[in-house]
Amino acid sequence: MDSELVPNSYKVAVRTVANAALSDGHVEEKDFDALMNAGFNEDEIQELFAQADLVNMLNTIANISGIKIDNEIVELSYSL
Amino acid sequence: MKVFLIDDQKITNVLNRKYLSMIREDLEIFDFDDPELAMAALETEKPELIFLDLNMPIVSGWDILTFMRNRKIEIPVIILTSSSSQQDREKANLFHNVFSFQLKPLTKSGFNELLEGYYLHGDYKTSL
Amino acid sequence: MEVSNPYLGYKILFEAMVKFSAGISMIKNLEELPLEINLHLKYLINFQEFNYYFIKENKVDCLWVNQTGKASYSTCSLDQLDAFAQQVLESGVPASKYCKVSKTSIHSWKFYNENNHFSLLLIRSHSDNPFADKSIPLIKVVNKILSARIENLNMVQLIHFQNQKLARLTTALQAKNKEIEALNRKQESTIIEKTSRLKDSNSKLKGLIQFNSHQLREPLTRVIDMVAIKDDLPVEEYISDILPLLSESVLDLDRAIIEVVQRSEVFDNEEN
Repeated sequence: MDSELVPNSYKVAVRTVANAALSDGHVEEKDFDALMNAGFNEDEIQELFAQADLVNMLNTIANISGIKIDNEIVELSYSL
Repeated sequence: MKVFLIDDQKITNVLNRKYLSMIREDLEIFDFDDPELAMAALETEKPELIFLDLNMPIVSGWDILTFMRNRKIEIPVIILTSSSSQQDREKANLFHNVFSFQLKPLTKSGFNELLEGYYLHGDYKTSL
Repeated sequence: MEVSNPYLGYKILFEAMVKFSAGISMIKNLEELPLEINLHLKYLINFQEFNYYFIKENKVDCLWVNQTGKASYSTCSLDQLDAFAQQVLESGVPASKYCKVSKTSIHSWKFYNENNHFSLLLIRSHSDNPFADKSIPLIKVVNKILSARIENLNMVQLIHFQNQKLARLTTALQAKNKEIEALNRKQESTIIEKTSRLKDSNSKLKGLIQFNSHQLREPLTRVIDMVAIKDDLPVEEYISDILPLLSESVLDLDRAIIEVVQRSEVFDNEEN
């Protein structure tokens, strides 16, 4: 991914949400700070973590049922 | 012949009496300056001709004509009035016993013609 | 970092731009515009502060947004813009400057839009999160979207303003119409009143004339009668019988004339 094309705020958002999703919903104070600094307001941050939650839930379901996770989201989180 | 002169002006009655008696000597003339008395005398005296004024206080000429129509008193009437109103003339036409409508003053020759007309035709309606 | 999909960045930006464009087109007035820009801009470019001036003759619409979510809309005149903005505006050449103390740089572009309107776009960014040269094509698109929307909103506002003016004029016109109607009605009623007064006095006059003619004619006919009978009677009889009556009738006539004159005067007074 051409990191110069995508603005940093976007990257911060995707990275934070992906981390939260992949780390079983582990979120720290610094994650919030990072999003705040990137210009996201509270509503937007809530929305972002809701997305992470959703992914998390889907992951759990996938784990239990043995479905393989779409590789793209894993890739995306590492590519940013 | 019995003739009634009905006019609230005594003077008019006096003059009319003089004219009529000049023209014919066989007339029995009754004059009334009170129309009510005339009305009362109509049925008892049974005149053959009436000279009637229209504008009179209390009882007018119209009242007398209406009274006669209501009582079915069929006596020929000559209206003698100082009113030149066309309305009065038309109203008088509605009473079929009115056979002439004359404007005052009426002179000797006027009375003469009226009486001649009255005698000539006998039936007063034709000369109306 | 491993790059698996070289077009992913474009996809992301395209999607962000679509959302930006859709959001801007939903805006109903200029005051709301900066807030909407604020929502989307962080998904498009790196920035700390974003200024957008839309210039129509001497009037400038100023949109301001910063990274922490603040936004405002204001208007100013052309000469109130700062020196740097003025410079870009005059030359038309994009410019940038860097401030060592704050570690921020400012980029500025001038755009020529439709209807001979200009716009000036300024982006301040911190060196920690600098504005990327690769984002410049996006800036052009952002200007296109914003200028078109502002033009459109201005037009809507103008139409709205003219509609209001028209409505005011219509109301004024209706008020005037009502006034005229009221005047007409007043005039009509005056005419009716005058006509009825005229009719009234006419009928009174008619009555007066009828009364007068009878009142005068009655004694007059008697006099005429008595004059006419003169030749038909002997002189002695005339003198004894008629002459006294004649003088009486003449007196009646005189009385009648006096009464008629009095009645006319009463009528005159009633009329005035």
